[in-house]
Amino acid sequence: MKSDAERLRLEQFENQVLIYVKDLHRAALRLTDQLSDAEDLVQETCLRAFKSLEQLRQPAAAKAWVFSILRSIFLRQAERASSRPVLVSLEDIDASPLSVSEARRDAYENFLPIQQTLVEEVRRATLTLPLVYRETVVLAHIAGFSYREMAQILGVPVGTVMSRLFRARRMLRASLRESRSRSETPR
Amino acid sequence: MTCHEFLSAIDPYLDDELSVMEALDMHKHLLGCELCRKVMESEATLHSLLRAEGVDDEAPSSLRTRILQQALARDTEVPQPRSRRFTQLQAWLAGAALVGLLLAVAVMLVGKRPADPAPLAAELAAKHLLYGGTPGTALEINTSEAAQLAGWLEQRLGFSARLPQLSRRDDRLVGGRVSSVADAPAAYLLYALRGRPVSLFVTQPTAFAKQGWTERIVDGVELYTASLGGIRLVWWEDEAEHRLYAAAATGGDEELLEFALLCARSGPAAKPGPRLLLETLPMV
Repeated sequence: MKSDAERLRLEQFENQVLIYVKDLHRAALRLTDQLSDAEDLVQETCLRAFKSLEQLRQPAAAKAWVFSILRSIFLRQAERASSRPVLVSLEDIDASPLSVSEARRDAYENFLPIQQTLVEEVRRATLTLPLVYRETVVLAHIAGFSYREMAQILGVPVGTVMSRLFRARRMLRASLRESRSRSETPR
Repeated sequence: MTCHEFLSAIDPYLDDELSVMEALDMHKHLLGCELCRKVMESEATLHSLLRAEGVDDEAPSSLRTRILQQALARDTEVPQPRSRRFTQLQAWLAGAALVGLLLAVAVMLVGKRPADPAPLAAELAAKHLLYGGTPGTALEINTSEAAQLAGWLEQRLGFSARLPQLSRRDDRLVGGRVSSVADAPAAYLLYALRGRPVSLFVTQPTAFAKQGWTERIVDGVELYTASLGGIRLVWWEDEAEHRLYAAAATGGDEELLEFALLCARSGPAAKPGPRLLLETLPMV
């Protein structure tokens, strides 16, 4: 028979970790780009969370906590896998917030009709983003975190989160524009 | 608000990070500025595409079960305060050995690779421990009225369940909740039979693998039984009603089979009127 403490622990695991398996899997798939790697990553994340459940003091923060674990495991794996591109330099990205004129210019320059863009194209474009931007996009759009939560997970100021998101979306636009112009070029 | 300010705030606006007043300022500006409105529409489309991308992705149905299974196996390694750890070391080791042995037996029984021993059995056993452990705490509704509970569950799940009519005075229905079995929505009901918790799961037909389960015909009812971690399990199909039933208990085989037969032979639960439902059932 399980003791009451063990049962409570399993219940907490079910209610505060396992309910995010779908979100974790979607995020892991965007980060690893491999189904089997994504499953392994989610599994390891959940089991690590299970082992460390005592560290979770506030149930309301469970989702951000579990995603922090996922990110930490993924980064460690990415660092170990020397054959894979890992990180881009963060110099000048985090230090200088985007100027308003840059934002304006970017918005106008990328003012292209993307209404017909296929979701599959967006997925491919997301996968080509450097990791530092991809993880921010995944946290914002796949996991649905706020700027403040993302700042906690990534360990950076909110301004940096905004800056990374802006740049990530700008890169996505450029990538989509490029792929669209390629597909429209007559052969 | 100037166009300059508007363009700077598009991302926080679409990310739902602005205050109500700031969002209203954005709306006001949009009413009078065609160019900014077009930029906003284009940005909103990109945001929508990013949100839509991946919405249809589903985690493999076995993933959650596999994680739960491993967590259950590791549960015996939960760290305890140092002073208790020494005194309970032998008990933990024995527990770990027992879980390992049981899992190994399950693997041998089902003839599968070690990473995937009887996922359905593990899921049912885990949920029995979770929901049936501390009576009432993991349930969404506590009631001993079978008809009320059947109505409550049907409202939420969209299908009815045939609940057993208990005959012994000490046996009672404790309550229920919405759950899932093999990634299909399921009704979960907790009974206390002779003081021991018994879990009943009701779901619609799904592909239960029979491999690893022992088939028994008892009084003309086809039952599939198994045991995992000291928990007895049984499932059967109600072909007439298109339902699958499963039960789990920590007691003996005979008690569980008796309960399964009681369920299989019970008629459809009477449904209460809507007025009674509204008055007596807590909404969760």
